[in-house]
Amino acid sequence: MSYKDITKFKSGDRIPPLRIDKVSRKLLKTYAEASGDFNPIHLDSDFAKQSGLPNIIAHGMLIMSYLGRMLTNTFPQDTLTDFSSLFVSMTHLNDKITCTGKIIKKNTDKHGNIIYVLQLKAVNENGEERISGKAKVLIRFGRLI
Amino acid sequence: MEKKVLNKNLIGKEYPAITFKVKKEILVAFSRSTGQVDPIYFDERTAKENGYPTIIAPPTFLTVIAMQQENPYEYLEKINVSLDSVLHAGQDYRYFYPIFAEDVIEMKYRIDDVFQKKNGEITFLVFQSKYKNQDGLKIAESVSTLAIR
Repeated sequence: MSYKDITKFKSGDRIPPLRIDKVSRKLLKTYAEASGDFNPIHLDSDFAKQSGLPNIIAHGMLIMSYLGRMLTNTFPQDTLTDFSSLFVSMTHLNDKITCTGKIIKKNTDKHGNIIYVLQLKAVNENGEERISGKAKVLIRFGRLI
Repeated sequence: MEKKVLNKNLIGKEYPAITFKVKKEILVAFSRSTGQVDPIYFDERTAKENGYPTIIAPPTFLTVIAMQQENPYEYLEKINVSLDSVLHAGQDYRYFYPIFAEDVIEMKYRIDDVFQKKNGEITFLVFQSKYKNQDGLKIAESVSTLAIR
């Protein structure tokens, strides 16, 4: 895989967004098996309802993983130094998630290292925010890959 | 389970370290389940062509280390938190070095903060974790915030 010239972003630029198929039971089951997180609030409707939720909800980490995928689609994984998520609201069954990332700060230091700070968002099809996130990317010596 | 008051006495509580072997199958299954398509996450040759020693773990893979234990919720049971009351409120990662297939990761974690909101209706538990690989290299730190309803 080749990366585009990732040193040329400016503050205010957006990285390519990532659109995800709607959240299904099957998807949550697959993620539970792969991650080991079998908390029944993600898998068992009766349990979720007894816990006071409308139905099963997605694992927050699955949605954060989508944000991570959007980041690594643009930046090589080893340039990512910080990545955080605030799970603002629950992701429900059938939510169609879109991930976006905007560069809010670019610093180039005297060694030529480039540091980007990105604001991240995961929203559903109605624009309801599910995750508000942040990431930091360090491109050492401003080198291209 | 009886609801026990979570208070500041828990701050600093350390848990036994977890050691986790990053089997290739586990890594690949996790990457597939989160929709990764770049072959550096599946194919050793492509990973090497891209300058990596072998298949690399995606950014959120650290979550798997705590979850793939025999009882991944034991750390909550130990402080009398029942699973149906827990929501994941926040997750922060700092990365120092990547994780690769067949690495052996050691995770050390502790309770870093306990605080309440909404007149005590919701308690927030903050866990801090530090990760090293088999060579003692510090690879990451994480802060995980759980909301207990």
